[in-house]
Amino acid sequence: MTRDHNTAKRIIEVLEQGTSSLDRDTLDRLAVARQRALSARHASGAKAVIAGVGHFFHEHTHGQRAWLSGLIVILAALLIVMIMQQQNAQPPVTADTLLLASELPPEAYVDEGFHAWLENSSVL
Amino acid sequence: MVRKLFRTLIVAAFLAASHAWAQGQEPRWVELTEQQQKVLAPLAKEWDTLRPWQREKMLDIARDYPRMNVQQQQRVQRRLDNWSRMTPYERENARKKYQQFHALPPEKQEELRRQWREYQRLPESERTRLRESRPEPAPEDDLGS
Repeated sequence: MTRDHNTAKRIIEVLEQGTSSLDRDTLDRLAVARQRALSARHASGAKAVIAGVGHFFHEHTHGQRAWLSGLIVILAALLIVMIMQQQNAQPPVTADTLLLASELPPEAYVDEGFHAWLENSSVL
Repeated sequence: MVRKLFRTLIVAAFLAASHAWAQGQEPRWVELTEQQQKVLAPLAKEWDTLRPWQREKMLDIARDYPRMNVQQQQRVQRRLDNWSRMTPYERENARKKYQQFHALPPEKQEELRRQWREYQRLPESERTRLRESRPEPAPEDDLGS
């Protein structure tokens, strides 16, 4: 680690010595290019999120990545099932339809003569 | 200038109101789907004269139609015309009585069906006499009680 640090320090020193010898015009162009690079990086939040996810996948072990992928697949499948169920859900059959389709016709329920007939009947 | 603007506003309001009224009357018979027209065929002639809420109820029936068996579908088609001619009071009364009928034990339901068949065999004069023996409609009377 110390050796790596020393190597990096040495590289920085060499680069700084190199930049000190650059002319003014080149330095200005480098500064403009740096600003552009920084602006582009800040511009896209979505890219940052993607980069974050990429970083996560890069950083985590194969086991963790497989677990997370599985979880995403399950959640997506659940979402699809829920959407399909909602699309296929039919409203219940209305009372009027049941009444019209029943064995007794609607007239039987409102015919006063039939009610009188039932009252006179000894069966009910 | 103000009068012209006022006149334009009145015309616009009138157009908006007639459009809203037309929306309330929809759908007209010609605007129904083929399947809806097939189910509601017994009402074809009078469809455009039905009230919006009646049309809505009938469209519900057309929507439920494919979920019924053939026998139920035939019953529905046979009874639609009569059903649409019943007064709102009669329809509401029929719904209440149907709920009561539905709550009865199967053997009592069967007995009522048998009674209805027997009642249908009576001469019309006898049925009229029975109707007249109950001059006051009693919607709260329990079916079969």
